[in-house]
Amino acid sequence: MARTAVVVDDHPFVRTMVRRLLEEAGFDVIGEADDVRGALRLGADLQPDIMLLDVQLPDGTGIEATRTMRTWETSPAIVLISTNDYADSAHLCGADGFIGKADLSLETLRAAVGPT
Amino acid sequence: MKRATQTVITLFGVDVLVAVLAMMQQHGNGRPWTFLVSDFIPGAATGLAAVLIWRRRPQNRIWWLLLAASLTFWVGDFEHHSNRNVALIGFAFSRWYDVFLAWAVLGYPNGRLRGRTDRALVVFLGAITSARSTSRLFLFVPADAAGYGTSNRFLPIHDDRWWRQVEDWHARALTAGIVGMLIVIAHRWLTSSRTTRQMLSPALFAGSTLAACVFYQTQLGWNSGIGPGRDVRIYYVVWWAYGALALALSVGMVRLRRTRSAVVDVFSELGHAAPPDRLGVALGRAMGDPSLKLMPWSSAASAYLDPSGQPVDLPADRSGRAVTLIEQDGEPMAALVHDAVLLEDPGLVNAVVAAVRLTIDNDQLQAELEARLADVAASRARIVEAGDNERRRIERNLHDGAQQRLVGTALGLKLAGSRLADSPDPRVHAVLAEAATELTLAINELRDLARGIHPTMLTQFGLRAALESLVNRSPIAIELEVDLPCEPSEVVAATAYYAVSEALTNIMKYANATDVAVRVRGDRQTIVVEVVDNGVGGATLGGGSGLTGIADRIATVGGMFRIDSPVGCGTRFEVELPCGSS
Repeated sequence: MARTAVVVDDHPFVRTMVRRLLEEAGFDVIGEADDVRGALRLGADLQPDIMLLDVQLPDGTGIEATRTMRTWETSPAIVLISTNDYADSAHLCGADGFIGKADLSLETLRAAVGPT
Repeated sequence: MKRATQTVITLFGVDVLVAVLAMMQQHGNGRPWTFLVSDFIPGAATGLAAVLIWRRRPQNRIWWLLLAASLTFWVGDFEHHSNRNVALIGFAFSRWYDVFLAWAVLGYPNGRLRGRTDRALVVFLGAITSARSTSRLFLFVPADAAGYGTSNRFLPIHDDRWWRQVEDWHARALTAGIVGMLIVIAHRWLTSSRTTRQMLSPALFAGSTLAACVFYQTQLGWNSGIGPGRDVRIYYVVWWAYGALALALSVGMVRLRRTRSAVVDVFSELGHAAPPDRLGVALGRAMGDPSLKLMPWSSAASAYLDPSGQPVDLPADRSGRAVTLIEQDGEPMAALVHDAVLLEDPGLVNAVVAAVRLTIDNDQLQAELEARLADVAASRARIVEAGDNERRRIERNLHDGAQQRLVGTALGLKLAGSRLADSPDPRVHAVLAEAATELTLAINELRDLARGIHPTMLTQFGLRAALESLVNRSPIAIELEVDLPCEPSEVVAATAYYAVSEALTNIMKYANATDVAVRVRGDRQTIVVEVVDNGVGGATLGGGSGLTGIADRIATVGGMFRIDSPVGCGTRFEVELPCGSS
């Protein structure tokens, strides 16, 4: 059974492309959100296996959302994505990985989340 | 030469001539040299004092009173002249110098009698001396034909008791007048300011001494002059007292001159930026007038202000106090309330007025300049803030717009490439891969451009995170220490960030450094940023280093910037900024 995923990014085109990338990698994308509030709601309601989470969101940052979800009993594997370099911050906040958007590809995605 | 000056010089010449003739007369009378010296010195001193005061202050009336006293001082020397008419004049009109000297002492320092008491005393002394002169002219009968004085030439009087009665009454009246003078002098001294006392003290002391001597002389009944059996030493004392009085009147004027030097010292000491209240206190101290007040004019209140800043009415004219108004271009500027004696030196008052005018003017200019500088600083800060906001907006637009579209497009190409991986035409995959690569490069360049315009991490995560990101992107290892108890304001954080960014850029370009450290520490008031390297040194403002722009920005937020970069010894770049905590 394919692992489930949620995509959170405030840009519709990027969200669409990332969704397709996840599907290409064999994930079942069960939800999309465009802000921190949506990410937390989907994370709690859908309990996906993985969440691809943009750092710069309109109502906060993906790093804050990660910290919040890490306080839950169960939370998805979180990979932060951004056009800027937040690798250190991602590690510190408890994310499972960071991929720069310019480097997003099937290879980097699989390396970050593991096999489906 | 002006006519008035010619007249005065002529009068002084007459005084000298009369003095010489008087001494010749006394010498001819067989007087010893001690007598001649004692007789000459007081009259000469009085005349000399008149010259000195006239030279310094010709408008002051004192000098002509002293000249009159000097001229009349010699008159009595002619009472033994061989010419009966001259002898009569000398006999009848001696002691008129008492009246002129009394007038000079009571009217000191400007020769003007102050009130009814002063005028009454002078009129009284003039009246009794007139009575004495009249009596000597018309009632005098000598004791014997070979005795002292001249015989009466106008009235057939043979009884000498009339003129002796007048002489006795004159003595008593003169005594009363002298006592009255002493009381007036004592009261005036007690109620004067320090400056006035300094001026008055020598004259009042000498005047009191002279008055006491004359009092003693009249009590001895020696109004009738020197005769057989009289001890002349008391006359010596009296005459020297006359001379001392004249000199004391001059000394008082000189003391006022010393006040000028003290006033000059005040302005030298306080400099040009003394506020009116401090200046007023200092001037009062220098002039010996603690009650001196400098009241600046307030346009807002349309009134003069007292030292506490409250509107106040100028004091009405009263004895001893004067008000000098200070104006600039016809507009009121300040008022100086001071001891009236200072008006005796118009040059002093004018100098004080000019210096006060300069000081107040300078004070106002200073305030205007500070206000303008504050406006300029505020304007600069607004410009910087507007620039930062614009940069933030551009970065946001780049991030939200172009960058995301390129990211999406690159992803799309990569996806297309992976789906066409098994295509029979390998060029398709290659073209797609190349396009994706170029797009990735474009995304990275755009990211760097946006970061150069405004680092998003600074806004979202603060100065520490932004500096960490900056340092991590560096091709060489940089030691970073950040110790901040609170996050500075956005403007200050941006300034600190750009300063470090510029310093690191210069290090990468020019320094050839292998060891670089960035240290940021601070408290709630101040942030200190240091960038230190072991490179080639020689960094300066200007020369394309970009440090000039950073220095301007630092100055805008009220910070300071120091650079220590000896050639060959590395560079230490230090910035101190007010925290402006958010």
